[in-house]
Amino acid sequence: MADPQTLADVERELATLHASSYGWALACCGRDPDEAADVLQQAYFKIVSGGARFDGRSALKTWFFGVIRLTAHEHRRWRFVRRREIAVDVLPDAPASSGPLVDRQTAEALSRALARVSERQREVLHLVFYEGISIAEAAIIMRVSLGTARLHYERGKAAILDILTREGVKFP
Amino acid sequence: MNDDERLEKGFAKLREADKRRAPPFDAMWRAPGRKRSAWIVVLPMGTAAVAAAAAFLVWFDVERDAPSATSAAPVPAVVVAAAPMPAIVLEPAPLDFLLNVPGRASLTTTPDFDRSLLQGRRR
Repeated sequence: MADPQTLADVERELATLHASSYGWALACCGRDPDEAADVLQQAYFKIVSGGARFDGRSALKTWFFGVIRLTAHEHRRWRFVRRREIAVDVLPDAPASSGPLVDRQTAEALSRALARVSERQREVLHLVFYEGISIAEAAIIMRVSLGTARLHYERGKAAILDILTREGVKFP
Repeated sequence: MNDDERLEKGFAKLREADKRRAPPFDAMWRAPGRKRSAWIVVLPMGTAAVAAAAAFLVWFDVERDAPSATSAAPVPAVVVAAAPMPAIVLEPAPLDFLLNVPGRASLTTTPDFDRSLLQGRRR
């Protein structure tokens, strides 16, 4: 079990990061909301149970995004086994998406487009455009070189714009 | 509006939509982890057991076939001679036909007493 004081601090910070963490989990799970919720819960559980410890070598957000990414990879690897698992606790249903229709349609179109590009492209685009962090920071979270991150960024951007243009999506 | 601005605008809308449907933090933080399926334990253990059994059988088979210096009794020459030859020895060699030279029959067979090899030959 992690140190209670440290855990309380981490909990407080993670609560403020929760929406971003969920968005990142979505990006790591191909925009699948059920899988993203599952992965995020597993990532939180790793921290509560002491399976993942924050050592302060990087920003908490960078570290936790790495934990989510790793958990998503593990989740995919054991998917065939996990299908047989029984959820111990059923999380409350997420509220339905609301907001203006045009915004919702744009968000859904972008979400669909993101699900169609490669994993690395989706990750780097999410980190740069969704989180507003630099490509260099994104490369650290993705554990790739800066050159590789840049390559995925450029190709991903071109692919997303191509998909959105072909679908006739406009950003009002 | 350039491409980057268009994407930034689109991602901002996506962020808002995701934020609205994110499950509550408290429920996720306090939720216990998923119970590990019995398969996660059974599968590796079963695989290891099968691998160990297969390794033992292979080892046992090799040990049984290998001649032991202490237990191997001297085999009488008669038994050796009567032992069936391996099939590969009985098969004709692919280049055996090269040995079929004229007059080979006279070298490999015993001539009849009542018949000369030169019988029928006339100068």
